Amino acid sequence: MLKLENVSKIYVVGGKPFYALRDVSLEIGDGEMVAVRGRSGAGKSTLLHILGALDTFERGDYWMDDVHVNELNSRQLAKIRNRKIGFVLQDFSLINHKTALYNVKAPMLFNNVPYRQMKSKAMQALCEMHMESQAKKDVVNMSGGQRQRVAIARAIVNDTPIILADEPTGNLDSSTAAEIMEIFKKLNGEGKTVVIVTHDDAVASYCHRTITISDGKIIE
Amino acid sequence: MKTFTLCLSFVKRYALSICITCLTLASGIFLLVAMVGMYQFQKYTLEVYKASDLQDAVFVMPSFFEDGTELRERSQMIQETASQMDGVSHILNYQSSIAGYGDHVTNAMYWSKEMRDNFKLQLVEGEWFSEDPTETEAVIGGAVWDGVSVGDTVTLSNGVTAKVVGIMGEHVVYPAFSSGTNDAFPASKLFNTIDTMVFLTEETIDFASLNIKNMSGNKTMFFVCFADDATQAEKDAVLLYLESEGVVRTYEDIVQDSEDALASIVTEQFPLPLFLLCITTIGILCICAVIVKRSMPDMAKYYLLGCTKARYTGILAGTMACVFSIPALLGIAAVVLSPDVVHQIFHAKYIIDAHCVLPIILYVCLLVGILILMPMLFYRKYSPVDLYRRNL
Ligand SMILES: Nc1ncnc2c1ncn2[C@@H]1O[C@H](COP(=O)(O)OP(=O)(O)OP(=O)(O)O)[C@@H](O)[C@H]1O
Ligand SMILES: [Mg+2]
Repeated sequence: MLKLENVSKIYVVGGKPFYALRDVSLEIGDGEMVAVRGRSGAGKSTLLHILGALDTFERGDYWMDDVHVNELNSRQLAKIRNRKIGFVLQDFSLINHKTALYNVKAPMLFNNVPYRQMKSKAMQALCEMHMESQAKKDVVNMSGGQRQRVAIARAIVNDTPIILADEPTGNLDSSTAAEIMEIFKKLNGEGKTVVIVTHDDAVASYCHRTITISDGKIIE
Repeated sequence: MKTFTLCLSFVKRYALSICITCLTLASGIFLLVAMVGMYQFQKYTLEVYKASDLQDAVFVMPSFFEDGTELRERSQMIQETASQMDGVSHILNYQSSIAGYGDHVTNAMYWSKEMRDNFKLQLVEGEWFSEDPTETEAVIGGAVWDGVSVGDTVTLSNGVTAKVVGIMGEHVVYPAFSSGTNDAFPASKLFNTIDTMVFLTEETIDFASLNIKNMSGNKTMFFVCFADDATQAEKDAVLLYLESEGVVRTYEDIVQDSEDALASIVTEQFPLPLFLLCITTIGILCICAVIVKRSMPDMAKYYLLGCTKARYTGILAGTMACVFSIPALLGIAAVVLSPDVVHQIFHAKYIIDAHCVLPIILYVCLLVGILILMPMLFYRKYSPVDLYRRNL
């Protein structure tokens, strides 16, 4: 379970505080599939970064299950990102000059999966995304849909319970987007908590619940 | 292994340029260490030469005449003639042999009182022979003699028993009177380096009763020492005779040639490795700046996957430090560990010690320091989330 209590993210812009998030409280239960919506600049990505322990915040509390995330140091946060969370982001955030296989192996570089099992686990994840034939291809040479599949393979390879996605279909055509959403739905069906930031109604319709933010505040 | 995978991912894309710079770095350092070593040998031998009592002596290299006489015999004749001329006090020459010591083999030099008085080699312990030795005295040098100290008595396989009076430093540099060319004759050509040596007082050894095989030594080149009361006219007559028989170098000639040789190492030999190192240093810094800059977006991506910023920066810094310090250390090690190869390449004698390696080690440390600081300074300003956003 993810729980934010009165979380504020404040940037100082031109000497004045700017609230990217203001007193956000929310709870996402295990196995939920949630859409986060809002206008551009509303703070959706900021929220996702905080949920993903990527970014810090100035006020409030964040609980992940029983862990008080505020109190963790950078190494512990890194561990949480590695063991608990899989990220799928709009720009794919793949390591461009590397192969699909390397990208999917990368999360295992930072945990205790034995080196020799890394390849087989990565191949298994690529298989699930029907990308096994592309394993040796550099991700720069792939189509948007293919890259997003690689990104999802990378997000699931550590078998993390939470998947956070920031406009995962933003750069894809509608039919490829639908395929990707089917994958998320399937992962959610397997028990993973899925949080998806999106502009797209079609994407939101796959989710159980929609959270809308405006100017850093949750409005519904 | 995982860390290694990550290290490799940093440098793989730049493999070719890294290989080239590593190669120039290693060769630049190899050349520089070797040349500093040659400079040191030149300088050290000049010091020993100046510290010896040879101001009033000339060095003679008899020329080869095609009249059938062997050079050695001719040299012997010249030495005899010269020694009988007015104003000449004595001739300096030596004989040597190979001798066993324990399980080892060493070189034994049998030095007359004159040789001992005129040549003063540098010692780290003990003294340079007594004035009038009553028993055979020895000055030892080289690792073969580890454990032997001043006052000990050593027995060589050829039956010579001697009391150790002095121990040479880490460089066993001895006057070999060896190679010479007609144009220049710096002190470095008078001397040679060797692994191990024992100098013995010649007059106390009863050569007739000992089994000393393969006695050799320099029979062709020699020093002619003038008497203290020799007049200029007598000296001129001796020089005139010697010059008719071969090449003669005076003390001043040798000092001058040595100083010229030192200067030529500085002006002609050093520039190449220094230039190589300058270029390479600039190259390395550029390559690393590119690696650091281009790895910045990847930091955000690895961060996403569970790597801390500190770890990423540390691995990057460590990778660059390793990649470039290893060839540098190999360059130094190549000179230190394979003197024969260096000798083959440069045809010159050299002394490698802490003095010549230290500045280069310092250079490597400085370089490594910069390489380690570079990513830290570059990345200090940016949080991974900043980087991630900037790439969007
Ligand atoms: N480093 C920063 N300094 C100052 N302001 C920032 C910084 N990062 C983000 N912001 C601001 O925070 C607000 C929220 O940004 P965020 O990226 O979360 O928006 P978003 O809802 O994801 O928008 P989009 O749909 O366009 O991706 C924006 O107004 C943005 O300008
Ligand atoms: Mg966004």
